[in-house]
Amino acid sequence: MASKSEKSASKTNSEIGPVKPLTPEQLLRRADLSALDFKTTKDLTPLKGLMGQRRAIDAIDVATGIENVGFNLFVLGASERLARESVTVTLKGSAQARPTPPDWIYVNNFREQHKPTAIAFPAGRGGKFKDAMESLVDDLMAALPAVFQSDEYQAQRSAVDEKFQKLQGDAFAELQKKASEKQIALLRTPMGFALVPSRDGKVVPPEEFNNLGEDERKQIQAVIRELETELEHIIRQIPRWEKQRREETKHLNSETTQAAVDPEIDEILADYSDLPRVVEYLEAVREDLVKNVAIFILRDEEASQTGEDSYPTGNAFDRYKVNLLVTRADHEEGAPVIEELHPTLSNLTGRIEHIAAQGVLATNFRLIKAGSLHRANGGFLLLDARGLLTEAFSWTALKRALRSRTIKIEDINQLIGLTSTISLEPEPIPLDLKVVLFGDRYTYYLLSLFDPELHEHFKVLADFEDSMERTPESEALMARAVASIIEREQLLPMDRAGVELVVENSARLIEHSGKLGLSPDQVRDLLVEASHYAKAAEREVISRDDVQKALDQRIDRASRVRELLQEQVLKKVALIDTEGSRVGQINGLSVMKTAGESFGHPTRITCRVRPGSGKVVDIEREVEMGGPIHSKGVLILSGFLAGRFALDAPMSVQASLVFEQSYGGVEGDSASSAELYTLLSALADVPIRQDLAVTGSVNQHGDVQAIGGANEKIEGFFDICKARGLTGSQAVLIPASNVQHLMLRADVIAACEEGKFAIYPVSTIDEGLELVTGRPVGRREDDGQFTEGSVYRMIEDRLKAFTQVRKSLAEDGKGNKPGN
Amino acid sequence: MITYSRLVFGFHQAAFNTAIVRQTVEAAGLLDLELHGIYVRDPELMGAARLSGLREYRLLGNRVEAIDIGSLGDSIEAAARRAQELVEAEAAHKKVRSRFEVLTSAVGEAIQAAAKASDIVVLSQPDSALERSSEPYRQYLQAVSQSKSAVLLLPRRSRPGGSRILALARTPQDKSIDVARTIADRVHGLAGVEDLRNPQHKSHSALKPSERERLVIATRDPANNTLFSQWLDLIGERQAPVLLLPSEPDTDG
Repeated sequence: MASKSEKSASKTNSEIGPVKPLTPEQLLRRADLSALDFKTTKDLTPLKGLMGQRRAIDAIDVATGIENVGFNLFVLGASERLARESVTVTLKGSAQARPTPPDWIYVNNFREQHKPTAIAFPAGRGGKFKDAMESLVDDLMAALPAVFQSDEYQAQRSAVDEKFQKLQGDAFAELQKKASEKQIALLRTPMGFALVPSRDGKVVPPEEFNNLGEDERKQIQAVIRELETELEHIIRQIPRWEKQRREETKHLNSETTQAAVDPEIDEILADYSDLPRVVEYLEAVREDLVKNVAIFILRDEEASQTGEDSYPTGNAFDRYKVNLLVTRADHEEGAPVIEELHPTLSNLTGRIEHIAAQGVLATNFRLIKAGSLHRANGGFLLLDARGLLTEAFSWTALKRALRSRTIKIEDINQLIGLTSTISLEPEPIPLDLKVVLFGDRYTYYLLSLFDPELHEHFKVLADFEDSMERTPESEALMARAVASIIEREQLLPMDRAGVELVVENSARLIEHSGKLGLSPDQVRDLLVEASHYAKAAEREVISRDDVQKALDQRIDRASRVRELLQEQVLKKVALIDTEGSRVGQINGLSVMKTAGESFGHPTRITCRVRPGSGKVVDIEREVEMGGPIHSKGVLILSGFLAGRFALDAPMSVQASLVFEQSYGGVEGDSASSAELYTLLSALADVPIRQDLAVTGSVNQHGDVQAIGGANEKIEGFFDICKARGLTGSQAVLIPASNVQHLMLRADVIAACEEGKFAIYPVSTIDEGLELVTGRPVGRREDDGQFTEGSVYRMIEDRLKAFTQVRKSLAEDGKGNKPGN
Repeated sequence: MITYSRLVFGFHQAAFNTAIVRQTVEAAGLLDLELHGIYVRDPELMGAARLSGLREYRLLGNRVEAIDIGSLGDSIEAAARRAQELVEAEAAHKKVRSRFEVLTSAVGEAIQAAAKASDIVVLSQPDSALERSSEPYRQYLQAVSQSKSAVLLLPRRSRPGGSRILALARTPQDKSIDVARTIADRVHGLAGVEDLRNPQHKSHSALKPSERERLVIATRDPANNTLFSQWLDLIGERQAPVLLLPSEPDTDG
C-alpha cells in the first residue's frame, strides 16, 4: 500500500508536463551598469572603504568605541590583503582620535638589578630623557676623573693618608725608640717581625747571648716580652686605623663626587620634576653614582674587577643608560595601529636578548627588546588568528596579557626549560590596547568550541560578508571598487564592457547570479592580469577581451589535469557515452579543484539489481572509497524506494551502485539523483539516454535538491560533447533550485541559443526520470497500481517478482531443513 | 748620556710587593735597562733564630709564636721563590729583560756588593709604617743613600697618565738635562727642564695628563750627596718616579 503522502505525490505526477530547457537569459545574468555614465574607469569616482560590509563596519565601530576590558575584535572572513587594509584604514581613522600613548623606557634597578624598572613618559619625552642620561654619563666620564685628579682632591686625599701613616709611623717610631734604648732591634721575618737583642745596630750573636747569665737573659727576654706586647697592641690598632682611613677617604670621595654629580643631576631633574617616577629614578642614580664613583675614576678593566659593581655585557657606565623601549616621537599623532605578521611569543611580548660573555650567556636591561604589544599599547594590534594559534605559547601569552592588563616579557627558553642562564624579570608594563584578530570562520568556530576564554577576550565579532545582493546599485558600487583598485594599483583604465565582465565574473566566482562576490583580492588579481594583456597589446584601455583573456588564461594554466581527464574520455579510456541509451547506466557529474581553479567532468554511474534482502549496496562505501555524505545519499535511495513502492512484503531487491573507473574516492551527495535514476532504470529495465548528464541530490520524497559547482559541471559535460560534436540532443539536468546560480561560459550559452545543447531544470525525480528515460513515470491509479506501461509500474512489478522469488527460496529452504 | 745598564732592586722583603714590582718593571722598560732583582737572605735573622726563647710576631693571625729555625729557613726560601716568580712574570709581561739573584749577606753589604756605578738602584717605600721602622729597611735606606750609584725613587702613590720627562737642573750644563732628552727621544715623549733652585711644579691640576711627569730626573746635591729627605718630599708632591743621578759618577762600570 502506498502511504498518504505518496498518494498525493502520485497525483501530481500526472500534472508533470515536459520540462522546458532553460533560456539563454537564465544561463547568465548580464551586468547592468546603466545607472553609471562612463566610458572608462577614469570617469568613475573610486570607492573608498569597504563595500557591502555594514554589519562588519558596525561591529568595528562598537569595538573601537567601547573602552571596557574584553571588547576586542575578532574579524571573520576578512583575511584577504585588501580587506585587511580596508579594516586597517578604518582603525587608523579611529586611532587618530585617540590620545597618543606614552613612551616607555627600561632603566637599571639599582636595588635589584635583575628586575629592571619600567618608566612611562609623555609621548616624545622618553627619547629626550635617554639623550639626557647619555650626556650625563659622558659629562661625568670627563668631569669625575678630572675632579679626582685635581690638586685639591689629591691634597686632601694625601692628608688623609698621611694622617694615618703618621699615626702608625709615630706609634712604631716610639716603639723603635724604646727598643733601641733597651738594645733591642726589630727584624723582619718572612711571616712577620721579631724583636731581638742588639748591640751597636747588630744582632747579638746567639753564642754570646746564650752565654749570658740566666738572670740577664731573663731580663732581656722580659724586655722583649714587654715590647712584643706593645707591638701587638699597635698592630691590633692598625685595622681600626685603616678602617678610619677608608671611611674618611670614602667620605672625601662622596663629597667630591656629590659636588660634581649634583649640578648634572639637578639639571635633568629640572626638566622632569613633573614625573615622580623619573625623580625617584634620578635620586637612585645620584645615590648609586656616589657609591660607585670608582667606575669613573678607575680604568675600565679595573672597574670591571670591582666585584659586585661590575656590570655584565657592557662597560660599567651602561648601568646609567636608558633603554628606550617604545617611543612615539617619530610617529603620527594619535594611537598606533600595528600589524604583527609573525606573532611568535617574543615578537608579541618582547624578548630579553643575551650576549655570550666569558662562557656564559649574560644579559642586562639594555637588551630588553619591545614586542608588538609594547608598540601597539594604547592603540590597536592586528593579528592573524591562524598565525597566532600556530605559534607556541603566543595565544596563551596574549590572553594572559589581556587578562592581567600588563605586558610581562617571558623568555621562551626558560619557559620550556632549555636554558638556565642569567635572566631578568623586567617590571611589567600596563597594557591598554584593542586586539583585532583576523581569521576564517572555521578557525573562529573551532576556537570558540575549544577555548571558552575566547569570548571573554573577544566580545565583538565583525563578520565580513562573502557576497552581497546583486542590484544595479551594488553593481555600480562594484564598478567604482574596480576603479579604486585600478587607481591604487596604477593599472590601465578599463572600458565599460570590461567592467561588466568583471562584475559578471564576480557573480560566477561565488556561484550565484543574484549576488556579487566581495573578494577584493580576486578582483585585483584579475585586473592586474587583464592590464598586463592590454599593455602587451599596446592598448591604453583594458577591454572586455583582455579580461576574458585573463579568465581564459587562468583556466588554461590550471587545465593540465582537466585536459588529461577529457583526453581519457575522448580516447575511450574512461568510458563516457554521449549518445545512445542503456539500462542501469547514467552520466553523473563531479567537480575537481586544482590550483584554485575548479572544473567539472562526467563520471559513469551504473547499477545492477537482483533478488535479495532489500539492500542497496554502495560499492564505493564497501571498499571504503566513499565519504559519509555520499553514503548518506545512497541510503536515502532505499528510503525513496520504500516510500514510492510501498509493498505488503519486505523489499526483496539487492542493488549495487558504483562510480565506474573511479580510483580516488567519492564524496558528496550531488550524484544521488543520478544514482537513483540508474537504480530505477535497472529495476524497470528501461534504458537511460546517454546524451544526458545529471547532477543534483535527492531526498526520500524524490525532491531534487541544489548542489554546488553547477556551472563547472555543466561546462565539463559540454566540453566532452563539444569535442565529440554537438548533436542537439545533449543536455544536462540540474536541480531547478540551482538555476539562480548559473553564470555560464559564453560558448555554452551560444550552443544553447543555437539549440545545440540544453540545460533542464528538474524539481523532482519524476521529472528527471521522464527526461532520462523518455517514458512517463506513471501515477497510481484507482486500483492502487501505477499506470500500465509506465516506468514505475515496471519497477513495482519487478519488485513484486523479486519478492516472489525470495519467498519461494525461503519456503524451499524450510522444506529442506532436516526434521521438517 | 745614559751609561746605565741595570736597574737593581729588591734587598728588603717589602720590595717584592706586586704594585712595587710592577712600577719597577715599568721604569726598567722606560729606561730600557735590564731588571736585576735581588733577594737578601739576612744571616743576622738566621742567627737570631738560634737565640733561646726567641719569638716572632706573625702578621697573619696577629699572634706571637716561637721561632723555629727549620721553618724559618723554609719560609725564607719560599719567600725568595715567590719574589723571583713575581719579578719574572711581570718582566715577561712587559717584555723587559730580567735576572734574579738571592744573596746571603747583610742588606747594606748586599747593596754595596751588587750596585755598581753603572747601575741604578731602586728605592721603594713600603706602605706599612711598621716595615719602615724595621732594622732591615733602615739599613737599606742608609745603604742606598750612601751608594755611589744612581737611585730611582718610587712614589708610594703614582698618578697615571703622565708622559713628560722632566729634568730638574741647577745649571744649564746639568747632566740631568741630557739624560731627560735622551729618554724623551726614545719614548717619543716630551722633555722639559725646570730650575731646581726655583721649581714651578706646584700647579699640577692645571696640567693635562700628557704634560704631567712620567719621570723626573735630577742630580744629587754635591754638598750633601746622601740627603734624601728633600727627594722623598718631592716624589710625594709629584707622584712620579725620580731618578737621582750621582753628582760625580764614577766610571768603574
